[in-house]
Amino acid sequence: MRDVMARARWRMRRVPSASPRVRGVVGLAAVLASVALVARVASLGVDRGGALTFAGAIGIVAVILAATALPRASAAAAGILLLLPVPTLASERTRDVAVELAVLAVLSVELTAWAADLRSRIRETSATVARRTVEVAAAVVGTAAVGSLALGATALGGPHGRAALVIGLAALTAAVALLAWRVRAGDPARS
Amino acid sequence: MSAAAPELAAEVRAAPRLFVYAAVGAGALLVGLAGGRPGMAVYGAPLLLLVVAAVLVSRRAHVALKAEFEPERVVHGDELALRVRGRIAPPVSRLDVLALRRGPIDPHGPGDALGAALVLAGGIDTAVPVATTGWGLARVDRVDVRADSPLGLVRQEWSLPVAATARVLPRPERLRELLHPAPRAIAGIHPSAARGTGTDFAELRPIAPGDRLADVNWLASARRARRPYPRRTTADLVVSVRHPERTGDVVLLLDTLADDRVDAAPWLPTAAAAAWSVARAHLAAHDRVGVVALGGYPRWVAPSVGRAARYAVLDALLSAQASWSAVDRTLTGTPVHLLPPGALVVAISPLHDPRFAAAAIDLRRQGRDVAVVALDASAWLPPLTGTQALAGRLWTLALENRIADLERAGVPVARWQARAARARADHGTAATAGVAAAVALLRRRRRAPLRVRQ
Repeated sequence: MRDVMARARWRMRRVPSASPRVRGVVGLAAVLASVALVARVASLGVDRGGALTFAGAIGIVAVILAATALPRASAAAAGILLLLPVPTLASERTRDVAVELAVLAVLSVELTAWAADLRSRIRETSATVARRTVEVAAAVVGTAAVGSLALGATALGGPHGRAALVIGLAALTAAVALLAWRVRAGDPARS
Repeated sequence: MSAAAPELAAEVRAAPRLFVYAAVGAGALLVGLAGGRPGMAVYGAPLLLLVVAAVLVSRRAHVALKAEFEPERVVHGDELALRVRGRIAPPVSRLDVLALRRGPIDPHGPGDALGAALVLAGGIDTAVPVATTGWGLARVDRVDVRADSPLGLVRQEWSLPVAATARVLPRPERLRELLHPAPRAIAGIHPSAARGTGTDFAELRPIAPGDRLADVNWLASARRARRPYPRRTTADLVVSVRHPERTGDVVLLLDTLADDRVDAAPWLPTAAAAAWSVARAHLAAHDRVGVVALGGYPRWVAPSVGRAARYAVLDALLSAQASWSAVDRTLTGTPVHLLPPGALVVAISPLHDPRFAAAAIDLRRQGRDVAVVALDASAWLPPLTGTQALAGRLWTLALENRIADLERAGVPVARWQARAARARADHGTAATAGVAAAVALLRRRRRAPLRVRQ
C-alpha cells in the first residue's frame, strides 16, 4: 500500500500525461519492437510455435497496457518478452539468432519501461528525452556487442565451447567491475 | 524565505524488470552452460551483464536542496517561479523534482505537478514557473526527489522538508472589492454632520464666547471685516469650524508565539485570516490600521490608510510566522508610531501563551483601549480519550482563567469558534464570516460601562 501511495505522487491518475507526445511515440516504438520480437520468434518454426505466438500476443497486450493505462504491467511484459525467445534457443540451429533475439527483447523491454515511466506528472524536457534515448541505445548496442562476443567465443578453437564462454564472461565481468570500482573511487560522497 | 538545506537518507528501489533481467539471464546462461546449448548462453550473457553493470554503476547518492519562491511577494497574475537549488553527490543520470504545493498556485502548462525533470552533473538549479490562481499565501512544504541510475534500473527517492512561501496579493481592483461594502459591525466611524475638533473643514461662523484663539481664521476675518482696520473689534472675527476627528487608529496585535519548540502554531493561518477580516472592516471605513506581531519574528506595520496601507497590512498578515521563544515578550518600548496612544488595539490570539494575555493586560493598564478576539483552537485538537481528555479539561480551565484575568483587567474578550469557521470553510463559506460578529460584540462591550474596571 505504501508503495502504491509513493508512486501516486509521481504518476498521473485519470488525467493526461504531462508529456503526451513523447509518451505516444515511445509507446508506439515499444509495441513495434515487441511485435518484431514475436514475429521473429514465430518465424523460426520451432516446436510449439503456436503456443509461443499466443504468449507473444499476450506480451504485446501487456506492452500496450503498460504504455497506456497500467504502468505496473511493464513488469509482466518484461517477463513474457524476455522468456519468449528462450524455448527457441534450445536447438543448435537457432544459435546464430540468439544475439538478434536478445537485442529485440532488450529493446522492447526498455521501450516499454520508458513508456510506463512517461506516464508521469513531471514534464519531460528535450534533454531528458535525449538522455534516455542514448541510454536505451547504449543498452541495445551493449547487448549486441556482448552477445556477439559470446557467440564468437563459442566458435573459437583452443579453449573452445563452454570453457571459452566461461572465460569470456569472466573477463567481461571483471572489466565491468573494474570500471565501476574506478567510478566509485572518484565518488565525492565516499571521501 | 528558504529553509536550511536538509540532507536525508534515500529510499532505494530497484525497477521490477531488473529482477526479470537477472532471473532470465542467469537461468538461460546456466541452462545453456550446463545443458550444452550455446544459443541460450549467448542469449543470457548480455542480460546478466546488463544487471551487473546497472547495479555496479548505481551508487547511493546524497542530496541536499532548498526551495524558495522568486519573488517572495507578487500581485495575483504576476510571474512567479519556484527555484530549487542544491547538490547531489555523486551525480545521477536523471533527477525528478516534485514539489507539494499549497495555496493559490498552479503549475504552468499540462499536468498538475509542480516539478521538473533534470539531467545534471551534480548541481541542482532549476526554476519552475508557477501560475497564481488567486491571492493568499503560497507554500511548498515538501519536495520529493527521485534520482535514476542509467536506464532507470535502480531508483533512489527522498522526501525533503522545505519551507518556501510567497505572498500573493490581490490585484488593486480585487482589493477594492474586498473592502466593499463596509460591515455593519464598525458602522458609525465615518465623519459625521456634527461639529467639533478635527482637521476636516466644515464652515465659518462669527466668533462666540468660548472659542479658542487658535480657531480664529485670520484671512477670512480680514476679508469679511465691515469696518476698516483701526476700528475693528472682536465681533469682526470669524472662526473655522471643523468636523470632529472620527477616523480611528486600529492596531491588530497578532499572536505569533508558537505552541512548542518546533514552532507549531496550526491556528496561525486562521488567526491571520481573522485579523484580515477585522482589518478589512476598518480599512473600508477609512480607519488607519496597523499590525504588530507579538512573539515570533518581529513584524509590524504602522497605522496608515490608503491602498499602500492595505497592501502592507495584507502582506504583514500573510507573512506572519510563529516561532518558539523563551524570552519574556512584552510591548514595552514599542515605538509610539506603531502603538498610538488613542489607538484601539485588537488582539487576536488563542491565548495559549500566558505572555500574550499579560501583554494585553499591560496595554490596558497603560490606559490603552484593548480588546481581544480569543480563538477557540480546540478545532485543531484530535479526539481526546482517557488521561488526554482530563488534560484537555485542565487546559480549557487554564484558558478560561486567562480570559477571566483579561476581563478583570477591563479587556473585553470575544470568543471566536474556529471549529465553526473551519466547517464554514469546508462548505465554501468564508472562514472569517464569524469575526464580524465577534467584533460587533467587542464594540458593544466597549460601549457598555465596565463594572470590573474600578
